[in-house]
Amino acid sequence: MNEIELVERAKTGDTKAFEELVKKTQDKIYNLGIKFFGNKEDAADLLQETYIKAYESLPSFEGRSSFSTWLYRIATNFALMKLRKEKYKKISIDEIKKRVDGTYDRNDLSDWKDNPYFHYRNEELKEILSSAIDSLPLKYKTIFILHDIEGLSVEEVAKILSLSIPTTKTRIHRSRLYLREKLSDYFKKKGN
Amino acid sequence: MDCKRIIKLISDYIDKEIEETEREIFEQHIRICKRCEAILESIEKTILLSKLLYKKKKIPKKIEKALYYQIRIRYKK
Ligand SMILES: [Zn+2]
Repeated sequence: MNEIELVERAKTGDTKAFEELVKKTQDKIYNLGIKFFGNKEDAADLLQETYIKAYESLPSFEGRSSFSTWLYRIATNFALMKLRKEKYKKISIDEIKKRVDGTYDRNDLSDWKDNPYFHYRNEELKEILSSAIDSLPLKYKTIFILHDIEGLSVEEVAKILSLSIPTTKTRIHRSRLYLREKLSDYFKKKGN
Repeated sequence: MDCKRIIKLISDYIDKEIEETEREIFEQHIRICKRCEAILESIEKTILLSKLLYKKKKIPKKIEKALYYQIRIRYKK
């Protein structure tokens, strides 16, 4: 049975069909939680809240988006609510803009090609990137996770977050440039 | 097109959200401009590295059980 049929059945109260939908999507939502929070406990909470809400709201699901996009939307909203209370120090949006707009003017563009510190197993580098992602303002962090890490399309992300396509694109672009800058900083420090 | 304009287009290029004519101009520029080429490449590497930060995990059994428990107690209502 495909997703649409399962949703139709689940809407009529077929709990087996609902559980089938959960089975098909649970790993995705759990992993999304890990990406948002970085720990199992919060990811497990997110998982529960998402499916409870999905079960309760199923009668009003109209199928305008796919079931998994709809789930992502529920999960992302829960995550945002929780993350807003987080104490992690965020950088300001102005700071991002300032750094990103300067990308061209800075003359120290390091060529990563021959950089001995750039390799995919450099744990220190991963650590830097990971905390840089955490330090992004929520609006940016969410988008970066959904688009660049999770691999959802610009259109899907815009739908999930109820944003316009241009706004979504701008935030994707700025997040990338900012994170790239952070890695460049690290290389510069290592070079000295 | 100048470098600033090219840098603005980088993400659209990576996401294949760029128009055909712009894409051609973009690629032409990248071929002759080392700086923009380096920026494009480093952004692509940043994205790839970000993806590698997370290995896909299966839900631990305990968490899965708790999930189904939470769902099922709502069925009878
Ligand atoms: Zn250039």
